[in-house]
Amino acid sequence: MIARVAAMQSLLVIMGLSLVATTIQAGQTPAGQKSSATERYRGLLVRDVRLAYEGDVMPEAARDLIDVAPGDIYLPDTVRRSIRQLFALGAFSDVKVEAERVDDEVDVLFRLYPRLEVRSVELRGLGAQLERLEGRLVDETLLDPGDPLDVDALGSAAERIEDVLREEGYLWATVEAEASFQSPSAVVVFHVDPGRQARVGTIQIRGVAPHIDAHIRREMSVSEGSPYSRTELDERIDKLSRSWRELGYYGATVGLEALPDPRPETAKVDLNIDVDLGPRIRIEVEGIDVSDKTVRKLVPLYGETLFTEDLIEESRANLEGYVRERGHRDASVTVERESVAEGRYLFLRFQLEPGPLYEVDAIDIEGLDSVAETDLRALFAMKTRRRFRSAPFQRRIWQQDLEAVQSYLERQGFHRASVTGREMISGETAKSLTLVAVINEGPRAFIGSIQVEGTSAVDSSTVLKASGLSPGTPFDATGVVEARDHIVAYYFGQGFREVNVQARTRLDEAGARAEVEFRIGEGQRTRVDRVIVSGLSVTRESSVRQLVTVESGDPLSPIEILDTRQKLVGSGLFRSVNVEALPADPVTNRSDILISVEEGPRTTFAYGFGFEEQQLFRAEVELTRRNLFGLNRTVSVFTRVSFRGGRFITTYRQPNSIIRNLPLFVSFYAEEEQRTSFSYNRVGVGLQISKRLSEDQNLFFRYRFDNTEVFDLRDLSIGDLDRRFQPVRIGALSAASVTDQRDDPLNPTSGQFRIVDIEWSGTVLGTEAPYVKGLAQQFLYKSLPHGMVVAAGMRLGAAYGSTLDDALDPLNSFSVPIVERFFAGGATTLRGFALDQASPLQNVFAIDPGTGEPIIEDGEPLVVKGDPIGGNVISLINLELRFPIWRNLRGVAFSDNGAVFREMRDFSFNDWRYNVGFGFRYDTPFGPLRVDYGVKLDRRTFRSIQCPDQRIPCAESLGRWHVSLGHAF
Amino acid sequence: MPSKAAFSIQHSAFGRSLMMTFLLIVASGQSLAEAELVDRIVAILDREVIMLSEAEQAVWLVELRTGSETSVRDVVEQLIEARLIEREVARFTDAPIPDEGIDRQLSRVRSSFESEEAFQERLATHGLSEEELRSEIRSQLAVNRYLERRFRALTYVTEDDIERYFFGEVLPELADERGPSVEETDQIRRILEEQRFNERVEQWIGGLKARTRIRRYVW
Repeated sequence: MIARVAAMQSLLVIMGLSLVATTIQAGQTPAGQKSSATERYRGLLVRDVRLAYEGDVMPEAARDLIDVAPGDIYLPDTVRRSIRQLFALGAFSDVKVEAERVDDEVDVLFRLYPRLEVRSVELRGLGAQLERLEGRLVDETLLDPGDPLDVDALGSAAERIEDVLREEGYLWATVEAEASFQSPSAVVVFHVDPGRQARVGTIQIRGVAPHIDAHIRREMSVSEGSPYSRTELDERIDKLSRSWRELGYYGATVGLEALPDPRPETAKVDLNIDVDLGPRIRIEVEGIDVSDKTVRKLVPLYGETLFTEDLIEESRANLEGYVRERGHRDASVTVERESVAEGRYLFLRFQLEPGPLYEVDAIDIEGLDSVAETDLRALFAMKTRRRFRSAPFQRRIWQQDLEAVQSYLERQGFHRASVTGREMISGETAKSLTLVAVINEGPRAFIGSIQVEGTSAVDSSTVLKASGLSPGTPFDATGVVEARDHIVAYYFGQGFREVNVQARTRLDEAGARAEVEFRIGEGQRTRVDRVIVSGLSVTRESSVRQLVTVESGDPLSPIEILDTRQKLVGSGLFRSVNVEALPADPVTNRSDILISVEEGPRTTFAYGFGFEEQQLFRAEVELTRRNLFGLNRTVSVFTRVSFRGGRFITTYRQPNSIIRNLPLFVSFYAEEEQRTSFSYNRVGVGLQISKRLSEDQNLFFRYRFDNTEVFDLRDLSIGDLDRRFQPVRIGALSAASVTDQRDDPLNPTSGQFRIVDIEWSGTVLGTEAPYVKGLAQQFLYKSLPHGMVVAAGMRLGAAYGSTLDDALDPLNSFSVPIVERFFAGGATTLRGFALDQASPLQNVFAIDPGTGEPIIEDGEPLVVKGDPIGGNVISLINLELRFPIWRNLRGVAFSDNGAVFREMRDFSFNDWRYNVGFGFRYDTPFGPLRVDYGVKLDRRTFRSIQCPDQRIPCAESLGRWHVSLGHAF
Repeated sequence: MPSKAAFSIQHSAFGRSLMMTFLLIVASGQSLAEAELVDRIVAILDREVIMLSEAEQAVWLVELRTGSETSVRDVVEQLIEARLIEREVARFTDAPIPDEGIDRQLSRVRSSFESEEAFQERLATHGLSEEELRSEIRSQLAVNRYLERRFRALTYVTEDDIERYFFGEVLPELADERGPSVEETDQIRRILEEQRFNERVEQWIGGLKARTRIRRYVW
């Protein structure tokens, strides 16, 4: 009589033959036993294999994906695999296989049907009154251009459009879908006949007094004869409900029933509105001093539509938890309910008894035997009271600390450790707590031995290494599980997709020694068979294969597949990339890799307009052409013109240079500009080859040639020009090594960044000022507790030139052109100085401001210090401590030290400059916004053009403010 | 208000190529008159296909189980659900199924046949190897474990539920005389837990289907 429910049984039958086995009755061989059609051909010799494509141009890759060939034995699995592989290509909507028996052989025919895409979706017949809904209706179809066309889904798309129209009052709307095929795409058209819009008939509002009835009608703006729209009515009901909740009717409900008149010619819909306001609830929270915003957050009653006892209890618990987490350990909250006026009003009072505020005076640890106390204390997030720091007791934090200690001990091999907490009221007042972590370490186990069994294709020692475990280390059950996962991951990477790894652990009686055993069922190793590329029309296959990291014969590794995909995506050639391992051949255990790509647009065009103080109005355009000749080569041309000049830059990039796999980058630029007191033109060319040594290290080899010419000088001499515009011709070869191991380039907290750059400029390279220059920069970052970071930077550089340019400036003879010298001072070097002002200064003649003539002293023109002129040697050390202040605001304290010297022989630590300072950082999505103030610790006094009277030495400024984006280093 | 999909093949390269293909096949002298359809796609789940041959294998299994005929179309729906469940289980990383459990199930299968030869013959008839059978068993056990872990804890039956079932479904005429006995309570609890378990699973499967792009072919 009691039926057994076995609804799941049929489903589970389908999923596994094991259930079949329980139901197959022994000895039964059903007469006329059916087998599938494909099984009837099993074992026959395949005589012929043909393809029939029901489209225009069949993708070439399709032939490679059919694993059935003349001369093979017909196997249903091979046919299935071929169908899967063909479908995975993404070019076919359907695949059918037909077979024909010819004597004892079989002919096989694969029929392929092209995948049709949606080209566009149109709605016709909406009319002016429904045009506003067009976007929404198109969204409802769930069809987008480029999607595969699913003809079966068009009917339901049409129904969804009808549903939306009915919600808007067009109760008799009909929609028909039509698809016009133009291989390989189709235009989908939905023919809409909205019919008449219904109107509101009678309106009945139940459950409220007449004055509220009138209020509802007013608020809902609904009357007999007005256009009916369910969507709008629902919105108005929501708004009404929200307004009632704000008045305290938290349990108010409004139900709307729409009853279309059965006579369609009337086009009317009667409305029944059922309202249950419920009691007006007033919530009071007493005994706690918090903002209304916090109360609303803690008491979810305010925001809910249903008023339940669960919500009241949740509110009570939230309030209690909130206060307890602020140190009131014994706080309790009670709820009082008072119903008045026959249930029309309900008062809910949350009465809080906070109890004393407990602060943590100290945290003691008891029971430690082997573990260092400092190691455990480092785990505690709970703070203790200090003179200027309060430490309210927070039970949640304390529990977390105890759990952290437990985890730590377990990781150290104390597998039976127990950690409990005790709170002792201490101190002179009853408001101080001493927290005690009571620890029972228990025995400590170490891994005695690790056995690996079941390996055959992979050496046991390799598996052991992959596990990350080693004998003699503390035993940790979680670590064993992780080790098992590492082994599984290793095997996956080696092509063993069905590997099975079981871990077992045995502890000795004392619990001090653990024997770990890994039993491995390797399963079959799958290797890569063919790599098939599909979807190319412009790009040459050789360009794609250069980016593919898997090769035929390699173990099938998910990591290599992912790497290949990343490289293809990173090339910028393709709009979409899919790299898939097709099902493996069960006989050879080899799997094809199918790479399906969709080529992206080859040409992009960008333009812009702007205004700048120097150049006035300017316009610029950039044209980029990718995948030149199908070989993943890119060329771009950038042009800017303004009222004061223009700039032209062209760049070319190819993935290979004269050396394979080393990308080549070539740029050429020419610019001319008319400045206030002079004009200049500059041409330059650069070649760069880069080599990626590892994930974080790159090598760059460059040649550059620049020629700057100045003309049309107005009241200015060459020596007065800013160094950027000094006329010079430079050709140079350089090599640079860049190592970037920072965790975040914009805001690093750990790691390092190193650049070593060497440049040679020789006359054979076209230079007119030969020199050799080297610069090494090293930056280190380390996280400290409490969110602090310490950063250190060192820069050392030297240049040597063979030609003195004393003819140009006898007072300041230099062997290296000014544009290549080193400078210091400013926001990223020595922050106590303005830009470049910590560099050697030019020697200039003092000029009497009144007469404009050189000042003569002791019969000689007075020489004073002028503008920065740079030097051939740079040495800098920067230290910075970064610490959090509040949310995104951080502070720094820094020390910048160092100097630039004219020549190596001038180097002396005595001449170093020493700065200290402070600053603020505010984190933005573009990096930290920075404000620094640096102070010189060694202000100097000398004559310079900055002094009010150049005859009298004056002191340097005390310090300098700097505002910029990004860290100093 | 019914809506229907209407399709038109207009003047298009597709239509012409369709005609061309047909002529080509006929003109080549390769007659397809004797050919039969041996396999094709019957359903697609996102990018995963279910094939006719798989559905035909499954039909055999269901007919043996129920003793009555069923159609490939009905079985396809069950295959769709089975695949969706397998996908979810595959995402759920767990300890592997112990070999002992698989061996036990396989022994039960083997012992239900009159001889080892009969067992092997039955497998061969339907194109299955013993290794594939083991793999299916492993998959089956993994699914069972997953469903149990995920849904069993959510099925609880209260005393009120039991009484309601007893008086409403089993022995309503006893409503005023006695409640369910201990044994009856136990049996009803098992039934209701099973019902609720199945409801949860069905609901979950419905959610899986709603999130998956499923296309069922008509043939």
